[in-house]
Amino acid sequence: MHLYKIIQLLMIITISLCTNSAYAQARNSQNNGQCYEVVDSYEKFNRAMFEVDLTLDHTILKPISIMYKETVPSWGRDRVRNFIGNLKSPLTLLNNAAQGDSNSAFRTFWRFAINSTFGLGGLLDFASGFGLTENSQTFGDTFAYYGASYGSYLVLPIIGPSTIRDATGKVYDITLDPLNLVLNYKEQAGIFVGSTVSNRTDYLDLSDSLEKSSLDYYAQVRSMYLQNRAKKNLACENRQIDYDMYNEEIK
Amino acid sequence: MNKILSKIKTLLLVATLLVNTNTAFADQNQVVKDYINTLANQVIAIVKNKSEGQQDKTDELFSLLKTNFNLNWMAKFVIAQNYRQLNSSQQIDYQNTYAKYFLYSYLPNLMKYTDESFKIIKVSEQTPGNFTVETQILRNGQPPISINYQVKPKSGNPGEYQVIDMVVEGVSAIMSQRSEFSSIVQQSGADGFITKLKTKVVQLETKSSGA
Repeated sequence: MHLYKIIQLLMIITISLCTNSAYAQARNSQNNGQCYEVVDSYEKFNRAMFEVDLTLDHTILKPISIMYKETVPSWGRDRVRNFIGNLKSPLTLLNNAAQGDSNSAFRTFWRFAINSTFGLGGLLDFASGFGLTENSQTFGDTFAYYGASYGSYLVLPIIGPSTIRDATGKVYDITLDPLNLVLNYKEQAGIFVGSTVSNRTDYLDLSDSLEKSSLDYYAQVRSMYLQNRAKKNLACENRQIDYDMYNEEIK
Repeated sequence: MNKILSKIKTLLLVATLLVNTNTAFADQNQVVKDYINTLANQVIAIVKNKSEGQQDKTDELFSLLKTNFNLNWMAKFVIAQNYRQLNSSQQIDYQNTYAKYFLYSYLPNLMKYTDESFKIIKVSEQTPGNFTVETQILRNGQPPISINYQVKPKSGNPGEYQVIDMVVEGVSAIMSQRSEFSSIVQQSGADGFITKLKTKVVQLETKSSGA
């Protein structure tokens, strides 16, 4: 089973390195107009799923996150966030390699090595002190790097906001994450729960404020998610909103 | 010899023009930087003022931001072509309601910045007259929050500036509202949208005044 996964990993790295230049060319020539465009082909389904997720959040995840924030001091929560962040490094390293980005791969490797040893298994983030800051990458990012558009916005059960591209990437993340070679299913589930609660705790204030001020919370979350993802897409990351472009329509 | 001298003169002229143009750009960037710096310091001073009550702070911030944000332009931007569907009295009504909506949504977030400090990272001119001011809110023991302010000269007064958008961690406030509002206009029509906006403003205003 492990040997099979290792072969899969090596194949992905080899193929991506070989085809890197051709894909990069395609990426540069793609139409960048989608950076700020909202495509929601499954809106009816998405809105229904959003309501389900929101109910789950209000009844389970949010109360747990509030309890976590109230019982664990800020210092402890930082250690948990660092530990979970460090566990994402192998997947990031794999994606750095898949994108042919040797500089980021080098940084991710040393960040992981330093924090796993001197940082006591990732509890302390010493690497940032050396300028090796966290820049997690997933297969969704890798697909975006190679020019795949996000397809359509998609709300997933429990996971929440996503896109066709990111949801596909998620399947690859789960299947090919090198960490899963050494962890059993219970440990993987534990990390997923810890990561979900830690992330939700970080956004407690923001989500409350948005929910109270939004006229259409679903549309607000959708726009924020898509803008945030566009920022991680190399084709969009340096693009500013062309405010003048919109002047004509509002004259 | 004359030809060489003439070429040198042309080169010097071009170089002088380039230096002058760069200086003009640099000056304008500095003016925009100073503008945002002053605005941010005014906001911080109000938020951190312990001698003032919550309501006084809210009122003061409200009037400061109302002058410094181009709310009329933003109001049009966020409902795009739908603005043309409104008659002139609806347009005025909508613009006033939007101004309140934007400020009352934004103020509670500002009031939380009591221990944070503010740093300007960079000012750049994206297109002629459109400036991006990259800033960071520095928080104790937490990663900084990146906020970019989009700044344009005031219409009819090119020497003064106004903010037209805030991009927080890559997410534009008015792009999000544009997406949200267009979704409501599609569902409820322009009239239904304005009614919903007014209802929300009343809720936010009540909450802001602590009633």
